[in-house]
Amino acid sequence: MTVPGSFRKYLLLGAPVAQLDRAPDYESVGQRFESSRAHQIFQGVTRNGDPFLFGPTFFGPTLVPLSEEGKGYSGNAHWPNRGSIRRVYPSESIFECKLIFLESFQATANIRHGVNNRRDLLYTFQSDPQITLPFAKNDNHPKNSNQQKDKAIFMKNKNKKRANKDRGIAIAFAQKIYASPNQKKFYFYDLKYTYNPVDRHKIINKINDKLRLEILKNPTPKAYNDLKAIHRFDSTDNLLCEIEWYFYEIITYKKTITTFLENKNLFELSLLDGKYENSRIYLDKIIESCGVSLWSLENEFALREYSGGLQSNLEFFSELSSSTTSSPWVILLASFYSDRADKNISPTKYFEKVNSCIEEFSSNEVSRISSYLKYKLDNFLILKSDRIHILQMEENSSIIDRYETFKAILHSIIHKKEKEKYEVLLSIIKKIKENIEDVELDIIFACLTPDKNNLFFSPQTKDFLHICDLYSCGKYEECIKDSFKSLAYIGNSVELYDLSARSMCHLGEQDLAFTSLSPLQLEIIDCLKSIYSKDEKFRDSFRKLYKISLTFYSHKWARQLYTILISEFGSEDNSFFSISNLLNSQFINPKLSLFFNDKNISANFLHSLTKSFGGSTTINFLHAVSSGSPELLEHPQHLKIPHERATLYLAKIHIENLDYDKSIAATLPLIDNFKKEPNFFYYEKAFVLLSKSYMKTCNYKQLIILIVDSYFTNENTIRRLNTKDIYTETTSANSHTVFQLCQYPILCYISGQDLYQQYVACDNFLKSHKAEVPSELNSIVFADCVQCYIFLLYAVFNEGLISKLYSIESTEEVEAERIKILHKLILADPSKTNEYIAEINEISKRITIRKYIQFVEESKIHIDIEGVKKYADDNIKDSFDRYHDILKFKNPDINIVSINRHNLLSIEKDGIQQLFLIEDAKLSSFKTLFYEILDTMISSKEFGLNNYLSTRIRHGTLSANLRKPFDDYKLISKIDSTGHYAPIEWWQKNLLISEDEQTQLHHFFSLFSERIDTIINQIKTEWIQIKTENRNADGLFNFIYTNNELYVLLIQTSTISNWNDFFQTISQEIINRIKTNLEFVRFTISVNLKHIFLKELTLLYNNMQTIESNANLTPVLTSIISCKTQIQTTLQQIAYWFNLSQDKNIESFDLVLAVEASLELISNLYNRTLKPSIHNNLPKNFKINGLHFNHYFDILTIIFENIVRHSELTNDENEISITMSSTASAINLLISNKIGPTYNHNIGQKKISTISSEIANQNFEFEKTSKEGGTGILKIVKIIKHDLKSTFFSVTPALYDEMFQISIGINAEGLGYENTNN
Amino acid sequence: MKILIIEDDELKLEKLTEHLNNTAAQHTYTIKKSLKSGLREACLNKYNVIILDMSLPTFEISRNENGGRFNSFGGQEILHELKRRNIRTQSIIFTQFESFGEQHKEISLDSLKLQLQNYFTGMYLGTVFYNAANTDWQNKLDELLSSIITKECPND
Repeated sequence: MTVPGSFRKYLLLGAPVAQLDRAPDYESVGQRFESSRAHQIFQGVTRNGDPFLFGPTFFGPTLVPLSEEGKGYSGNAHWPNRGSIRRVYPSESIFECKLIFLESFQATANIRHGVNNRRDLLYTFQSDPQITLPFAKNDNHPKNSNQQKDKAIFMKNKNKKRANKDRGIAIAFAQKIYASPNQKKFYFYDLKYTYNPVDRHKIINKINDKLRLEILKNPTPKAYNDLKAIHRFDSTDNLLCEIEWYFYEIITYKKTITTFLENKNLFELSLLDGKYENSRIYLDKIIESCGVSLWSLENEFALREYSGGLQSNLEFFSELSSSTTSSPWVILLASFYSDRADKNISPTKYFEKVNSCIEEFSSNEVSRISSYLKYKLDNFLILKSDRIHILQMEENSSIIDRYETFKAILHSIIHKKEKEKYEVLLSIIKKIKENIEDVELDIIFACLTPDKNNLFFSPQTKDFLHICDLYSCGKYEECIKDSFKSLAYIGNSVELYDLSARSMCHLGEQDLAFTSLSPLQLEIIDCLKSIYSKDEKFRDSFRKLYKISLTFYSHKWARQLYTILISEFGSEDNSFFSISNLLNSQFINPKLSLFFNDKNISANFLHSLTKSFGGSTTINFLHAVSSGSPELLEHPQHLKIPHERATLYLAKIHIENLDYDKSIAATLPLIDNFKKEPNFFYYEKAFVLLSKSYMKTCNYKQLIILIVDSYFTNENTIRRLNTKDIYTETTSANSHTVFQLCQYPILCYISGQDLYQQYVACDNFLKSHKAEVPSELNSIVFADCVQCYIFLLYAVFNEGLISKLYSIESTEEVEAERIKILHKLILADPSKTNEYIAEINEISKRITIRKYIQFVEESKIHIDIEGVKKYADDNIKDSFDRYHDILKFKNPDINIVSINRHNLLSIEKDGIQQLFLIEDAKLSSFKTLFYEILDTMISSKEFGLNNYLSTRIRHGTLSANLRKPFDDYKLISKIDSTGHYAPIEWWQKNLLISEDEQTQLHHFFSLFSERIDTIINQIKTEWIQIKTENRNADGLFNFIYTNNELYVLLIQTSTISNWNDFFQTISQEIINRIKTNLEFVRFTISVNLKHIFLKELTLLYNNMQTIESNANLTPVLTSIISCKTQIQTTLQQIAYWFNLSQDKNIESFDLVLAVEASLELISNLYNRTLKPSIHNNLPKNFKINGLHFNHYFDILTIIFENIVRHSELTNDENEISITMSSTASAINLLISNKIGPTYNHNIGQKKISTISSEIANQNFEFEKTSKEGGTGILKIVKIIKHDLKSTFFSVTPALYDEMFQISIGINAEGLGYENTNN
Repeated sequence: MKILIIEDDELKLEKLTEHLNNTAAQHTYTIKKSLKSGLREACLNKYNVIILDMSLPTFEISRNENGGRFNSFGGQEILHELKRRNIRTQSIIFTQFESFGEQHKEISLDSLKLQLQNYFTGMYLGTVFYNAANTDWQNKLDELLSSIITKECPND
């Protein structure tokens, strides 16, 4: 037997060692079972004292041997983590709640599986529906009325002998159980299914309370701890058999149910009326007299949410979930009920949760759980295959829940029109009706009975008929008035809300202030009106009503509301919801006549209505519709109903009679009329009918035009249509006429097809117009459908879709095409020129930002050769003059160097290897000169390569880029305040694995994070460094020159007498060396580092596979594999950085765009959402000379990187204010950001004061800027002073209570900024 | 045999081409690294077989191109488009993932295989699950390739 994947480990983990260990005790000693249970509680194995492996306490250990057949758990080998058994408290996650439940269920199911043979042997006959219900055929059955009478007489006049006999049967039954307690389950099963009902009743009446409670499974639990606390026992798979058992229980508890129904109605009415105090009283009354139930649980949440708000809702949930003895079922359902009532949780969110829970139980083995959850939490549409499961699972709920479920199952049978079951069900309903007064039973009875002539209709039906007549005759004001009057006493009748709202659609705005309806009731009417009239509040109203219908899900009126929403919004088959609307009514609705699908039966039903209440417009109208004959509707004046309504029904009848042309002829004029004088209530109905007719007649062209036209007229009018199916069908027709329509790709777009399908539609369309891209379309062709043409270009051909087009090959081409489209739109739709220009600007801005970022990435490695030359002219040229003089020495004996192994050169001369002293005065002087130039080019804090490596690569950027792919795929974590790697929250939330496994997972991630961080740190501190003879042995920038190399260089340059030429030659040599180094760095990163990272990822992957439930770790494994691909791309991109920047510059740049580019770069790099507010006080069209772009960008990037890295804010809090202004000679930047509560102000203040005094120091030392890992503010000073060569400047950092601020003023003289306006 | 490889993972590509070079059969192959470039190549030139990854970027990633949208079912989309264009080149899915898509849209490799089998009958040869740790994928690939070796190569 298998268990759904993610829960399997729980079952294994929480294996009931205690039970297995104790089993022999119980078998041999019997009564010692209690001690076992105590032991289990102590061990934390069970929650409420029940040994969960066995479900019911009596599912004894004798069943364990069954596992030897391979069907059960055998031996401890199956429980590898005995020591891990833990108590799972209800306050823990919902999944754990499910786990506990599953544990008990699974164990029960497992045992059941093992005993199938026995059950089958005993009760094979039960599978025959003909004999399943003995009472239906058996004269002895108490449901036979004569028999019932006999029984009553018998009971009244029972004599002692008979009484003794009864007691005798009960005693015999009890004795059997006490003799073989471990067989209790089978005896109960026997009693339930094979005893004749009379004997069964006698036994249940006579046996002791404890046994009775076990058999009936506590139908009236006094507290939520007792609800669903008694485990279910085996059930048959025979629906009618289960229904019969429910019937028995219902009759047994008829008084409880009657009390419930009376108070339930009052509870519902008072809640709707907003009288929550009364609701409280009625709910308490129900609980007091009938016990608690899932119904009361659900309504407790609804009442609390409405009367006391979310706090009250959560208080109740907290109270329940903190109880360690509650059934896991109760907590599981309570958590969903709480969500459902919570006004802040949208239906979508609620259903996401529900569906993911249901999915967990969707495998065959536990499908009954998913069936039950669907019924309880999703919607009340019960599938045929789910019925038996639902009945089985509801078996241990309260009698109230059982009764409600019983009726729901009957609804499902009625919906499916399973007439073969009607006879049996009728006899049951009749019997229940004799004992319980419930209008729902009357409606069910009306549906089941073949004899519609003798139906009994309540006065409510009469009132409703009257209101219906008012509506049918178009007397809308009166209809509203009377509906409101009736709502005062049947406020839970949705039909009245419905008719009021419909009437209002015809009358327009209505002042409802005068009404005595509650805010909730008014909200329902208002929302219904919006939905029917398809107004701008349509979606909002739908959401509101949907939420209301979910909150009061157990109320019939809420279900009716739900059915209305489905029929107004859903495009699927909603026949169930149509009948469900009628079945959940407070009275027999005359519209039931339309359900019977048989003219005679409908006629009988309507006749019966006429007989009870006399003639009625509604009845006549329904008769005309249900008869299916158009003649009666062709003269609506006879029926006294408005012409439009009659026409719509007429069109409907034509469709039913397959006369589509007539239907089209009837609806087309309506469409035109309702469009001219907008009435979307009727328009939508006519539209649906017309679409149906077009579809049936394969008139796809007209159909598509109609849909798109209606969409443009009022997009809410097409919601009922399944546009997806229509699109598919029209596409499969492969018609050129269809493909040519510009409405065709629009249909695809509005029907919500995926992007590929949209592309297919657009491709078909473009091809049919001989265009490759939309900008090639000839606008003249679309002269008669300009609106569509504009929509097509603007909405459909968005950038996502353009990227799919066959001829488009890059992002740049996508953007260029979109800009072309926007230009076409400006011509076609000049009224929205500003909108289109705004988008063009947006795209242009994006392109510019991308260009900036790309430029920055390409110019990370830079040598300021001009700066070096200038410096060398001033400082090194003297050395050259000296060197030049030495070169002129004639006397080689003037030796100014000492001999050592470094200045000896081994050269092959005349075939012999000879040793030469190479370092003479000339070489020594040359070396001095060479190293002076080299140092300036490589290590100078002003111009050197190392300076750029530090600012543009090592200052955060490299680490962040290398970490990014691991971070993106949630494989790496950060060190927390305890100095350890924190668990990765994502996996904690999204993986359904045990705590032990989470611990293992965390361990592996920590190891991985540590190793990756070590590697990254090594790359930063050891690899991306300048390697010299004395420093950074592992540095990849190798600037060690051997004497041989220098000697060769000396020879090469010895003839150069001009300083400039000499500098040019030497600097070129150094640049060549830099290029060689860069090539090596690129190779090391893209090849060596790639293999190092891939190896680490493989190790992580292998480690993950050692975790026991690695089947549930698929998302982690997938992430690792994806990361493997991503890291290669990332390394390739990082490798690109290591190219010497080209001598190209941005011409001039916009500072605002530079700010945005920098923000985007940092935001992507650190996966942070930055919330900038940019205040641009610069003159219009202010531009700065492009020569300085990189320096400005460096300043901005240092600041933004600091904010992300040091301000200790969460992802959502990164608010940054950037103010830019300028004077005639200066550019000012003021950047401030919030700082997190954990930020250490003392340290911050100290740092700022040190930095401020450094800056203030006239002799600012550049050496200080080489310190890495700091704030980078001194680097900013260096950039301003030396790269931007600003003679006056200010850099002022400041720290306030909750804010950090940096103010920068740059003397702009000579920066060449432009103000094109000035 | 003329093979079109559509694969964006450098390492996988390296291993794949290395293996193709080492096999006795004479293979010539063209490499494309994105959905769009792969699709275009498959439409413009004839190949005996296409070996394609399932998850692909829209455009080829380069210094100036970030690849556009990432397509979890890019390989499947290529097959759809080829089928729509009546190009029935036989294809092998070459993947290292056991599941595709995210959350509610997630689909296992086995289910995907079944879908491909049903929808691309005659085009879809099979799936090779790439695992760097073993050589099973090489055997599977050889097996699938040998099933087409005997067939006539289409002319360009």
